[in-house]
Amino acid sequence: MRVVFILTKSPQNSGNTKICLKNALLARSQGYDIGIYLLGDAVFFAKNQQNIANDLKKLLASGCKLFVRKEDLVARGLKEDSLIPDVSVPSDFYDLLITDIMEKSERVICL
Amino acid sequence: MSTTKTLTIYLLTGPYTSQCTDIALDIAEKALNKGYKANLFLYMDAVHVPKKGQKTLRFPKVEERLRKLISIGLRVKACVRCASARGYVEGEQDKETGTFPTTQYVNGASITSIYDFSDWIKESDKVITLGE
Amino acid sequence: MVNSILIMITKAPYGRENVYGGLYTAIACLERKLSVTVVLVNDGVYSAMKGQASYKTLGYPNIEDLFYALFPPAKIFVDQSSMDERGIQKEDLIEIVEVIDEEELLNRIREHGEAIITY
Repeated sequence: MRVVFILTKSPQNSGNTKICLKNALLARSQGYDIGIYLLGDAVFFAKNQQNIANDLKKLLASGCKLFVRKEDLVARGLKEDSLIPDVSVPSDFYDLLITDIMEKSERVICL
Repeated sequence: MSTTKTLTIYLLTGPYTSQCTDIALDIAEKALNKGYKANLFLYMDAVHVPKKGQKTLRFPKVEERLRKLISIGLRVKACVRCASARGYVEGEQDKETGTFPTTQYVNGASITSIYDFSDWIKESDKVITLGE
Repeated sequence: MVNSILIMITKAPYGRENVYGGLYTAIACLERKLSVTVVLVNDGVYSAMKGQASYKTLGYPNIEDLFYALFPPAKIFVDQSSMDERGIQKEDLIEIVEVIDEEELLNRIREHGEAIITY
């Protein structure tokens, strides 16, 4: 089963961070296919060298895909080279998101 | 024969206070442009989104964007309990349409009961929630 | 098309409108014959505390009563780790809730989350 998370809130300020990370890791360990979309303030999740970076790296290493919205990075002055390696910054984030939720995923969790 | 898939966006946050409102409209626009049907159900402070007469100098104009999206097929409904609490409901429910009257909303946005949201959920292929 | 809805409540009761939103939506969905599962996580676990008297002191409708209006047929689950973080025991909560761990939460999402709405 494919599960997609859509995150819009910053990681340190949001209790939902824990829900996402725990559930995504557990789901991956049980063979779920996981995609995580970061937009709005949630693009800060993808920044390297913060205390949740290791959890994000674990998720990536387990096969989850992380997608970050470029326009939100640029707005916030976050350079792509400051992000955790292997996150994707697609050229058309919303196109990818819509295709994923409408055609591929079976569960969508917005946090 | 394939039927067009439907996305329902459930918005909980008002215009300008959160980027989530703009994100909801971005997603609605992309879904419509890709040929999907799109619904926007407004709850809590999101019932302010269709209010007429919004004036901003520096921020993207939510009212204008909403009008454009309605013109290309976005269906917009606001919860009557939330809208009434915030002063938008101006009379009794229209028995035929099920909507509640307001002169304060852009054309194409209506005030209805939460049961309409449940009906939209049932008809949809996917539902997403945005807002605080 | 969607037949089941999972309502995830993450905010505390009364400080914000969110918990009301979740529970009123749950009631409407039950009315429309959707299968409804409510899951309380993070601060949402506070909303299932027993002995609430909001009408008396705030003039707000009582959320405890809304849970009883939902159950049955809706099922109400509370996340164990959220309870632990907040020092909440099962006996602090209304009796109609079931405490679950993260694996069971994932099962609920898989089985009942054709639409997942977060408050």
